[in-house]
Formats: sequence, C-alpha cells, structure tokens
Amino acid sequence: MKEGFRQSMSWLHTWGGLLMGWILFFVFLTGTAGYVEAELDRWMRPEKPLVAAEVAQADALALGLRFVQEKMPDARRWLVSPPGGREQPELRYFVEGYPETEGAPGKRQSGFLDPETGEKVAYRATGGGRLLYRMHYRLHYIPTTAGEWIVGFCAMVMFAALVTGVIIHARIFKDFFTFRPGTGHRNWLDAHNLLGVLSLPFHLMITYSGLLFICYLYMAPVIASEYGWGEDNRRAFTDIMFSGRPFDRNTERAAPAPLAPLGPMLAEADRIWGPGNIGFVDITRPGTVAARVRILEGTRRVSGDRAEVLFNGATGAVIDAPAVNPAPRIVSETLLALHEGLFAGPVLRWLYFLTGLVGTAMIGSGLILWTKKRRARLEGRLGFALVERLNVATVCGLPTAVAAYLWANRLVPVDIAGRAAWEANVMFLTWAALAVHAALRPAARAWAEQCWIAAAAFGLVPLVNALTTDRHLGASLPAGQWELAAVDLTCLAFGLGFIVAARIAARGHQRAVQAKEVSPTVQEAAE
Amino acid sequence: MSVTSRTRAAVSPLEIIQRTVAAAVGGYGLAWAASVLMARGLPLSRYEAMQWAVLASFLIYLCVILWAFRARPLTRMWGGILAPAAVCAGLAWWVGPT
Amino acid sequence: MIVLAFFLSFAAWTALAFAMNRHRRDMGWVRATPVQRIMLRVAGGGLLAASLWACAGHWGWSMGTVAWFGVMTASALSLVLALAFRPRTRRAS
Repeated sequence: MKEGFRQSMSWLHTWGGLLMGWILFFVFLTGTAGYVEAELDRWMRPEKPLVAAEVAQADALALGLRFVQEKMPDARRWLVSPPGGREQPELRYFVEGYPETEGAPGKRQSGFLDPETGEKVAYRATGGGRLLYRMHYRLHYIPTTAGEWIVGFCAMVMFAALVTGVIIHARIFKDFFTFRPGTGHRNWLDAHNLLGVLSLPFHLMITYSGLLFICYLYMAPVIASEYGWGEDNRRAFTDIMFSGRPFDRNTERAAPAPLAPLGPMLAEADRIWGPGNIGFVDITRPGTVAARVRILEGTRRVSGDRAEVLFNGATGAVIDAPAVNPAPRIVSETLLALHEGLFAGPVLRWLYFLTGLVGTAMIGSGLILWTKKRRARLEGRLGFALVERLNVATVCGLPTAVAAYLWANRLVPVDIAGRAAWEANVMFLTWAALAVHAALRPAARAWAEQCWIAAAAFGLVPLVNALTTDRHLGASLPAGQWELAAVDLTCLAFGLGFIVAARIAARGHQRAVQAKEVSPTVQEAAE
Repeated sequence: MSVTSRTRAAVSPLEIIQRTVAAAVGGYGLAWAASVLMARGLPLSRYEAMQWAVLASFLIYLCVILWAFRARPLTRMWGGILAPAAVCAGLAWWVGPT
Repeated sequence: MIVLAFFLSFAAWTALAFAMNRHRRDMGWVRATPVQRIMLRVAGGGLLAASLWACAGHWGWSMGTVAWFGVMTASALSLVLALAFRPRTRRAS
C-alpha cells in the first residue's frame, strides 16, 4: 500500500513536472529576474546620470505635483511618486483619464521627470526589468488573462509536484547534503533533490502565494458566489484583499471645487512617518467635491501593509478610514509580500535572487533528469527526442534569450518605432533560433554548443555595454554605482557558470560518442 | 534506490485520462464547492470568510489532486471526490448567499 | 552580523552532515558513536538557532526570519559544493 502510494505520487510528480516544466522554467527564470527588476530598469536606461542628483523628497514631490497639475489639469487621477529608495529611484507620474495622451488611444499616461528641474526626461523606450517581471505571470504576446490562466494552471501543477516530490523522496534526510558530481542520472537525481530540499520553504511559499495573486481569476466563481459576477463586484473583495480599503471608482460627475493646498497634507505625512518617507501621492477626482488625496508611506514591511493617510481633497481635512485588517488578510498580505520581496534590502535581495535561481535550477535539473533516467529505455523514440530538444532549448536557450534581451537594449537603434517591443522580439527570436538549433543538432552536441553560446551571450554583455554606452564597469565601479555594476558583474558570473556547464556537457557528449561506437544503430535512430 | 528501479504496473490510458480529469476538473469542483461553503458558513464578516475560503481553496485543490492519483480503485477515487463535492455544494446552496 | 549568521548556519550544517555516517565515510572518518551523533545534532540545531538570532539582530525578527531561510539555503549550498568538490585523493562515487 505504502509503496503503491509512493509510486502513484511519483507518476504525478514525473509527468506533471515534465509537461509543465518548460513553462515553469520560464516563469521561475523571469520571476527571478523580477527580483532585480529595479536594477535591470536602471541598467537598461543608460541615459540616466551615472550618479543620481541628491534632491530632497519634498522638493521633487512639489515639482512632480506641479507638473501634472499644469500639464494635465483635466485628469481624473494624478499619481506622483518621488525618487527615493531602490523600488522607486525616479520622479515619476501616472495620470488616468487624460484625453490627449501621446499617440495612444488609452486614457493612461506615465513618464519620468527630472527631479531637479521638473521637466520631462526621455529615456530610450525599453521594457526594462519590469517586462521580464511581467512575463513571469502573464507570459508574452498573448492576452494577460490567458497568460494568467496558463501560469495559474502551471503553478497548481508545481504545487502538486512539490508535495509529491517530498513524498516520493522519502530519504530526504538521509540524502541531505549528498551530491556526487558527474554526469550520470544519479548525479542529476542528487542535484534535483538537493536543489528542491535546500529551499523547500521558499518553493512552497512562492507557489502558494503566486496562486493567491491570481485568485480573483482562478477562484472567480468562489468570489462570485458571495459578491456576484462582474468586475465591480469582484473588486469589492479584491480592493480589500490587496489594499485593505475599498477604492472609490465612482465616475459620476461631482460638483466642481478647487483642490485644497497640498503642502499641509504632505507636511502631515512627514510629521507621521518622519521626513522623506512618502511612497506616493495619489489624487483622485481633483477639482471636484469628491476629491481624495491618498499619501502612502515609503517603508515596506514583511507584513506587506504600508500606512497611509487619506485627505478630503476639497477641504484638506483628514479622513479617518482605518484599514480593514482582520487575521485572514494578514495571512494573505504576508504571503503576497513574501512573494514580492519588496521589503528586501541589498543582502536579502541577493538571497532572494539566489533562492530564485535555485528554484529555476531545480526545475531545469528535473527536466534533464527525466531524459537521463529514460535514455536507455526510450532513446530513439520521437517523444524522447522532443523532450530532449525542448530541454536544450529551454534550459540553455531561454537564459541566452534573456542575455539577448540585454544586448537588444544596447544595440536596437534608439529612434525606431516600437523599440521597446523590439527588445522583447529579439529575446523571443533568439529563443526560437536556439530551439531550431536544438532540433537540428545531435542532442549531446546541442547541449555543449548552446552552453558556449550562453557563455558568450552573458560574458560579452559588459563588453557590449562598454562599446555602446559610458555606463560600463570602467565608469560604474570607480563611481561606486554598485547596482549598475552588479548587472554587468552578474552577467560575467553567468558567463563563467555556462563555461563550466559547457565543459560538463562536453564530457557528456564524449560519453555519448563512446556509447555510439558500441551501439551505432540506436544513436542513429535518435538523430 | 531510485524510482526507476521499481517495476511499474501497466496503467491503461483510460485510467490516466480519468485520473487527470478527476484531478483537474473534479479537484476544481470540490475546491469550489468547499470554499463556497466556507465563505457562506463561517461565522465571520463577509470579507473575512471569503478571504479564508480563498486561502483554503488552493490547499483543498492540492489535496484533491493528490487523492485523484492515489485512490484505488477508480470508483473509490471518483466517490471520494464527487460525494464531498455534492455534499458541500448542497450545503452551500442550502445556506445561501449571506 | 550577516557574515556571522552565514557562518553560524554553515557550521550548523557541517555539524549535521558529520552526524551522518554517509558523509563521515566519504571523508574517510570513522563512524560516529550514538552519543557523538546526538551531540552533533544538538550542536547543529543550536547553531541554526544562533544563526536565526544573528539574522534577527541585523534585520529584526520579521525580516530576519525571512533572511534566515535565505541564509540557510546559501550556506547549505556552499557546504554541499565544498563537500562535493573538496580536494581529495580518492573519488567517493
């Protein structure tokens, strides 16, 4: 009975993991990149001054608020976030309901301002690290909802794969710390188990909380059973879940009334949280009696919540609206905050990044393990060849495509139309090209070759950067701009890592050649 | 002792399809029914009950998926999903929206 | 404090690893007596707790707990790599 149980769990683990593994690898890799989203954003905007100007938050905020009030007086919502901290290094504005947005028919517009002059600044059009982060939950080229459904389904399979993985790996503690380097399937099993066990709490947390993020979609019927269908009804629940307060979406015309002076409101926020700790200022329905001014605290916590003060925008009076924060919301909010890790400082962020890579490597090693275990039995079958090729194209090809995304950021001409989209296109074209390469080459050789390609793609990023901009290591290191230098240095480290991987793959290839000499027919059938 | 070294009983494709459908669809159904029952039945505010239900829904789904691949024979597996789903759905319907 | 947390956790994993005869054998050590194994395990547990304390000292308890998991992952990974690729005369495969 017990053995049968373990066996059926093993079946679920193997096949669920395999079929969803390629998408999960994509999700984990881009999600891990999302942990350094702000650093990538900064790297991908080399026009930014090497050393950011020191501007008092209050001054920058005043410039930003004046900009939106003067340039977009008819907007229904103004949101200005001052530069400060890692998460928001720019003076940024976001406007909703402004009729004359640049070129786009949408009613939203956002941009960056110079924190010293309050003038609009133009960086190259780029998706930045933010685009990679977005891909991890909504993929790319497909509608957001479809992407979220696919990722949600994969996350559920991941959840099951994690739990079944623990069940089938009964020797979890006996095998602890065990890794026998080499290229046989035992070694890959060791690696897969080890990578899974070492950060199991992270994997469980990230998968469960990831599902929680899209509960409004995935568990829509549950929410609808009490709140009713439709976006407005759904939001009655999700507004409280995600922000602790219902959000005013009233669009009816309200009587006009001038906006009360913002200065005293900002001063009140500074009095509560200390100066320079404002996250953003969110003004809805300005110019009416229904105007509201929300000011959020800058500090992030593990419990997720940020304090806020709410003002009546017409009178300037504080509106006392304490957050709805019962026990289940604290649980949910903590899980969501742990997933995003926005509270993490540099060291904790590196740990998040490392743990994310461990998760990515766990999925990759699981995919490889599938082929290593079955080579003797299945080699030569079409399905086996397909899995093997998809593995090469995903485990080696996708990281290379991410490196190509960074290359594209530097090499795609700055003034072409749809530039930001082209950066992503380059990434996916590279991935497609590597998939073709993986399909055409013998598998063992494809591994080694793609590892070398990946090593070059990552290792040369600092060089490409140095040739195209003056934000390279030679400038960033002396200036002590570590968040900028870290991108170049991490790419170099990945390059070195792939060189090691290429040499391991080459050893595997030699073994395959030796095996071929023994039984040529099997190998030929496979190719 | 790796998993491969054990001999695997032959599993018919029909059984695999049934179990997969039971896990994906049946699991979702039971998770839905049980969470709705929680949302309606818990003696808490509407938001609190719903938030607990949403948190629980994914864990319920997970358990059903494991059950769908574990329980033998197939009839027991189906019974173990459909019966509680029917009971939860019935109770939730009887309680009605709050 | 961060470095201290890392090395406390690294030491903890080392103690736990050498409470296991498999790793002692790989190192060419004699088997541990039951008393030794218990002592190593207690030491490992205590060192992990000390590492949590060090994390909390730097980050505070809530963020420190999160960091502790990260530090445990990083240090265990380092130990595994150190054990697997240590200089040796005999291949233990």
